[in-house]
Order: sequence, then structure tokens, then C-alpha cells
Amino acid sequence: MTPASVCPQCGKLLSNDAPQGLCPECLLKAALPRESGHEAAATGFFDPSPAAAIPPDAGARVKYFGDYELLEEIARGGMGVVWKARQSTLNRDVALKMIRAGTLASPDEVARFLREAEAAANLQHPNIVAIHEVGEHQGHHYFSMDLVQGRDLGALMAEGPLPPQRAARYVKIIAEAIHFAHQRGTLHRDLKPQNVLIDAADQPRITDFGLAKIMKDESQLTQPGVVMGSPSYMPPEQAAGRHGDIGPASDVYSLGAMLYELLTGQPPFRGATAMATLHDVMEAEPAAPRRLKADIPPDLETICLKCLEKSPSARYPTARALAEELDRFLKGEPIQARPASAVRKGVSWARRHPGTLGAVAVLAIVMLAFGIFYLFEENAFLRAQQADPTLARVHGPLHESLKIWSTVGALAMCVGIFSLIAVRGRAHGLSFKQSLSKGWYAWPLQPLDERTRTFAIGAGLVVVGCGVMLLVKTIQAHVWEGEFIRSGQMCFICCSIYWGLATLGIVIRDYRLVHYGTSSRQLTAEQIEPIRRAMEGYDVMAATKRYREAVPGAGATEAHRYVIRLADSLRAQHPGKFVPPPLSLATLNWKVMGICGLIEAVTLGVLWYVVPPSHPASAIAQFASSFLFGLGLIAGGGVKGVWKRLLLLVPAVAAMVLSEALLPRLAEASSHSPGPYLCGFLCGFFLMVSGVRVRRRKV
Amino acid sequence: MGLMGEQCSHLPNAEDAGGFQTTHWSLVLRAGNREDRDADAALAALCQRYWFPLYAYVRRHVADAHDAQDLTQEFFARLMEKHYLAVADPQRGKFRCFLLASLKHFLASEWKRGHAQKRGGGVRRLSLDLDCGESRLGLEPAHDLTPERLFERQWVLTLLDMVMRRLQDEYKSSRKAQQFEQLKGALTSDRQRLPYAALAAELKMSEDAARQAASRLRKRYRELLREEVSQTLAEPGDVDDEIRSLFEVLGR
Repeated sequence: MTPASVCPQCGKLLSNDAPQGLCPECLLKAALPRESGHEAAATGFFDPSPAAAIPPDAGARVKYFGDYELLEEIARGGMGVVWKARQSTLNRDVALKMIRAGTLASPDEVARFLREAEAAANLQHPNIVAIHEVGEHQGHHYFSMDLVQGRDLGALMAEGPLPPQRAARYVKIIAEAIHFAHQRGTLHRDLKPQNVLIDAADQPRITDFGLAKIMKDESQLTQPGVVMGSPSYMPPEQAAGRHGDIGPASDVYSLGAMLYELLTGQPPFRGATAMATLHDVMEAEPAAPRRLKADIPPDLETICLKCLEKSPSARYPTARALAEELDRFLKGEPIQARPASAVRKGVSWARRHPGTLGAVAVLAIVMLAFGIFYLFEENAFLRAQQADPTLARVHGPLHESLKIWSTVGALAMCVGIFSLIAVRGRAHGLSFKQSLSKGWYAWPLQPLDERTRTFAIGAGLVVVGCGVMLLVKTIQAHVWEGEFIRSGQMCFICCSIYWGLATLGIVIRDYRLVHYGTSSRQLTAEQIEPIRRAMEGYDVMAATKRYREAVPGAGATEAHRYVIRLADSLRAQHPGKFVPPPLSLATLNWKVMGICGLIEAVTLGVLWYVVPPSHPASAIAQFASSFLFGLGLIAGGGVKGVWKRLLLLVPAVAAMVLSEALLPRLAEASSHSPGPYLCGFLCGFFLMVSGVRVRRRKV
Repeated sequence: MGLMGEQCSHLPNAEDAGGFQTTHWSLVLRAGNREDRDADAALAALCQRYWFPLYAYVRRHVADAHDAQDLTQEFFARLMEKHYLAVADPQRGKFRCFLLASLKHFLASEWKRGHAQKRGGGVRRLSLDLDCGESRLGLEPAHDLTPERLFERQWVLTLLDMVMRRLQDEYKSSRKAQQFEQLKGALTSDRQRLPYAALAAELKMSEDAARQAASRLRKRYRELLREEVSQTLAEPGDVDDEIRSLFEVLGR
């Protein structure tokens, strides 16, 4: 698995499958015709460097370039190549930038190249790399600039995140220089660590104004809708191609993204593909830096996140404002920006947890709707009673229809749970039996096929519909005929609505999966090894821990996602190794069962003291059914982690308290209804299977 | 040299490319559903070459190696019966895109039918060395590529591997195997970086001759790669664009 060697040309690691031991990228590059180089650069979507064909021997032909002797190639950018050169007349070393396509550059490219020179030449600032001369030699356009001895910030970053003070100092200086550029009407538009050089005096200097835009300049070299720049540092307005919104605040965003990376070691957004990154830049909220690395000062996090606001007006209005703020931080003075308010945080949280938000919203809406419906019915009944004083709440036709709907609800609940398991299994590519096992979520997601998707939507809607109808009938019967609300019915209603919505949720997740994929961080083989070892036993928790040890600064969510993906590749490589063991009593989750029983017993004891039950047998029936109901919630909720699962017991306990305290006659009624027992049976079934762990088969 | 190499090439229909104006994929497309022996042979040749990326894609979706092998075989059988050629598709211009789109379509319909069904009865099968594919896949580093990207990456590697092999075979057949081994590094390196003096000494020729040999190797390599790429395109003029997009596949 360890890479065999390194490409001498581009320095990339070569994998084992490299053809003839040669770097595939360089091989392809060698096949591109030279004259098409400028086309590639013009049509490149993002950084067009890989696609552009620069003849590898350009330097050989122009070893002496006018007044300059070319010494070595320093860097290659989107459009140009930078050489270290010696200017013979002045006997000094300079950096010489030329268009990659050389004499074949299109007029557009030359215009953009000269624009860069113009943009930078107007800026005489100690922290901006100065331009000396712009010219043309034998058809090659070039400009010479200061040669900065040192590394770029990106290379410095490769050793890990910087200490917060140092990062703040760099960004403050860069922000001041950028403000200087803004005042002279130049936007940089491609700020990233690779475009900041750190000189021998440890001062940052900005370079590469290749995408710079002269403000108030009408001639647009970039067309509307065309995206240029580095996705990870690109402000949302630039990612969306809204060129009209690009202004000083856009560079402030890039400064924030840079600060973020200096602090945490990773850019705020980095998807598996450029497209995914752009999507995240526009839609997602960055993870709070302190979650990735706890020792970042809160003030610095506030400053950083303010720069990364989606709306330009919410950021610092100018780079100077950012520099001043960082200065305050460095001097230990209170900063002016306030941490995001609770509302703002809530909104941001909601954007990052659409699933939870959706669930809570749906629950709230459903409860509100039925609350209103209940009041409406109650009102109607009271009005009817006013009109006809003899009207009383006695059993009638609604009672009969409720009986039928109860049966339908019970059926819907059963259909709901089994279709949920079936669809979930399909979504993870599991057999029915595998999908019952505890480790089901560790299997990779795969796209649903058309029939399963249709089935899932249909079953989900029908099951939810039945649950809703039963609730409507229950409320009507309760209001008009004084019918008791039985725990069995509530169970049918809750379960069928919940399981039906969960089935629909899988379809939504499938849609998101197919459209956006997942983001990733590249790990080295050595980093992966301990995680892989932990995964051999399918121990997700241990593997997650190993990941966070291997990658300092990784958040729990990121670690968990990575581990799940690793499980995916492990399973793809060694199919058949990971199978659930047969069900047995020994593998049951006794701990959870014990804790659940204890909580129920305490509740029952308290209840017994407060409201003595009508009959001990009914109390025992209540205990048993709500115990199993609680266990079922724990087991079937798809929630990971013992404490989170136990939290789910709260509704079960509440149901028991309510049914005992508020509906004292329920005990007698429920002894005639099969609901609690059916529910208890189902819940017990899921408890059994949830106790089973996936183990690695001995090979 | 080039002519000899082509005659010796073990790849089916390698000599067609020079002889016909049309490339393989455009030939297949033009024949459509009609019976056409040339087009059938061309399609078979294309499939023989590019089955591995498809297998890698299928393998990411299917847990069991045997299932994946069956599915791949079945897919090619269907392809040979030209089920998918009838489907109008804007992506047919490139064989690569057509294959992936058809495969996705095929897998979706296979999932619908269920995997258990017995396959391959009475249909023509290509002899694909599927076990070799499994071991090759085993060497793959654990990466986070999506199946689509894995497919594209494997496509590029397969293509390059094929071209390099052809090049090697050509040099072998003209008894210049050693020259190939020594000079193949020239394909990916800057000219001035290559130690020509040392290479020339190794090959017992003058430094200038070594330079020329390297340049010939580069030229021939470029020809072969462009020819191979053009075989998978409906419009031979799009070769540069295709190479560029293959390049982007690797860069991602």
C-alpha cells in the first residue's frame, strides 16, 4: 500500500498502478500538443495549470532572456511561470514571470497578464512584491519583480497550524497591505496561503495579482458567471459568479479563509471535488475553529467567522477594519466584533443540521396542527351543545369507526417498521438480516434503485397518512363521544408517523448523497494504519478515537464520517469478512436493558405512592408495556451512544406517568386492548436484534 | 519502426486505425443497431481494452467479487447485443462517457431485477481476465474516490498502460528493449534534466544520438496515445479536449 516512488518531474507520489512506473499526469501532459496550450488556459475552469501545456523545455530555449539569465524555475501559476533570474546590467537577482503559453498566448491572455503587471506595479508597499520592469522579448511577455527569499505561507502551513498569535500577526499585516491595494483601486481576488511569501525578515508579502480586478474598470476580462480562483478561499459571491457583488469585502473573506487555515490547518471548506467545495462555500457554514482546535482564543474565532460570513455586508467592511481588529486582539484589548448572537448561532446550527431541524420542525408543526384541530373540534362540540343542551359525550358511530382505524393504525405501524428496515437495508446494500444488526450504519450508502425509491415514498406517505388519520379519529372520538385516549392508539400514531417519516428521510438523504457526495481529507498510509486496525474489529468508537489522535484538530463528526468511509473501502476490499454473528442471548445489550428497567421501576414506585393503581396486575401490565416501549425507542431510534439513547426514555416515562395520573381508568381499558402487547412485542423484537454486535468473522 | 511495431502488436484491430479514416467508436456508432461485422469487431476490441475501469466501478457497488464479475460480464454481453446503442444519449460522443452512462443504467435495472437471477445463459461472452482484475484492485490504495471518479481514474491508467505497452512492444520487436527502458523516463522529464551523457554511455551511443532517440520515443508515444484516444471518440478532432479532460480526471 505504500507508494513506491516519487515523480521526478512534478514531485507527486506514484501509486503502484502507475504505467511503467511513470507519472500518469506527466505522461498525459507530454501528449498534449504545444500549440494548444493557450486554449487550455483560456477554457480552464479553475486553476487551469494542470491542463495548460507548457513545453517542458521552455527554459532551455530561453536560458538567456534579454537582460536576464534564467537560473531556476520557482513556481508555476494559473497563467505564468516564475523564474529566478539574474539581471546582468544591474547585477541583481529578480523573479521573472512569463506567460506559460509563451509566444502563442492569445491577445486575451496577454491583456490579462499585463493587467496583473499593471495591478501590482501601481502598488509600492513593503508587503506587496514590487514590480520592476514590464516588457516583451522575442514575443514572450514578461515582468520582473522582487525576488523574495523564503517560503510561501502554504509551504509553511504544511508543517501544521501556526500558533494563534503568529497567524494573527501575519493576517494583520496582509490585511493592511490589501487595504493599501484597495485604496488604489485594486482587488486581489485570489488570496490564498500560496500567494503570500514569507521573507527572510519573517514579513509576509503578497504576490500573484493574476486575477486582480481594477475597480471601476468596465472592460471585463472575466465574463459574468465564470468562476475563477481557488474554490477553498473563494468568497460565496465569487463562487456564485455574481461579479457585481465583488468588492473589498470579498478579499476580507479570503483573508478570513486564510486565517482559518493558518489557525486550524485546513481551509474552511474542502470538498471531494471542486464542485462540492463550491457548493459548500455557497451553502454550508464553516465548522467553528475552536471545535477543530480547542486552544484557539475565542476572540480570534469571532474575528475569523465574521470574515467568513456569507453576506458581504456582515463581514468587516474593509481590510483596514480587519487589520485594526486583529491589532486589538494582538494587544490584548477587547475586540469590537461580538461573537455570533444566539439567534445567529441557531441559524448557523440549523444550516449545518438540516436533518435534525427538519425533524423538530415537522414535530412542532404536527403538534401545532393537531392542537389547533383539537381546539377546533372542542369549540364545535361546545357550540353544538349550546344549540342542543341534551347533547352528551356518549359512545356512537365515531367509537365504531375508531375501532376500525385502530386496526389500520396497528397495521400501518407494522408496515412502517418493516418498510423502514427494508429501505434502510437497501440504502446500505444489506440483506434484511444484516440490516437488523447493530452495525448497519457502518455500511456504505449506495444509491437507491428506482423501484425501492418509489416504494419508500409510497410506503412512507401511506404509513404517515394512516397515523395522521388515526390521530384525527382519536381526537374526534375523544371530543364528541368522550372516548379515552388509549396508550395503544398513541403508540400506533407515534410509531407510524415516526417510522413513515424516517422512511421518507432516507429518500431525501439518498437524493443528497447522489447530488453532493461527501467531503474528504487526504490521510497518509501511516495515519490510516491505526484506524484500519481498529476497524478490523468493526469498533467504530475506537477507530474514531484513533482518527482524532492521528489527525490533530479533527472534529468528532469529521472523524466519524471518515471512519464510516473507511469501513466502506474495507468492506469493498474484503467482502465476506464482515458479517453479523447469529442472534444469541449472550450478545444482548444487558446494560441498556438494566438501566431502562431501573428507570421504569423507580417511576412505577413513585407513581404507586402518588396514585395507587386500581389493580396490581394492571400496574404490572403498564410497567411491562412501557418498559418494552422504552427499550424499543432506544433500540429502534437509530441513535448511537448510550446516553443519547437513554434520553429517548423520557417520552416513555412521560407516557407512563400521563397514562397513570391523568387517565386513571386507562388501566382497565388497556387490559382489553391488544395495543400495548403488540407494541411491546415489536419493541422487544427490536431490542433483541439491537443488542447484537457485528463481529469480524475468523478467517 | 512504427510499421513493424503495429504489425507485431498483439492488440486486436490495432492496424485498423491507420487503414481506415473512421475510428473504432465512430464506426460502432455509425453502424448503430445494424449487423456490421467491422463494427462488431471494433466494439469487441474497445470492450476488451476498457473493461477494467468498469469492473472497478461495479466492484465499488457490489459486495461480492463473483457478483461483480458476473455483472461486468453480463454488461458486456448486453453491450455486444447493442441494447444500449439504441438509447439516444447526448454523451455518446465519447466512448468513456457512453460506457459509464450505460453501466449506470444497467446496474439500476439489475438492482431492480435482483441479483440472484442466473445470468449469462446463451449470450456471447467476452473472455475477460476478471481474476486478474480482482488482484489489481487489491493493490489499489484505500482511497475515498467515488465510484465515478474511480472509474475515470482507472480509465486513464488503463489507457496509458495500454499505450506504454504498445510502445514497449514496438521497441522490443525492433530489438531496442533496452533503449526503451533507459529512455522512457524522458517521456515525463524536462529535457534539460535528463542525464543524457550517462544515458548515452549506458546505451553505447553518442549524446546527440541519445537525444534524438529520446525525441523519437516522445514523438511515437504521442502518436500512439493520440491514436488510442481517438479510437474512443466519435469526432477524431476532439482528441486534445479529451486528453485535457483525462488530465483533469487525474488532477482531481
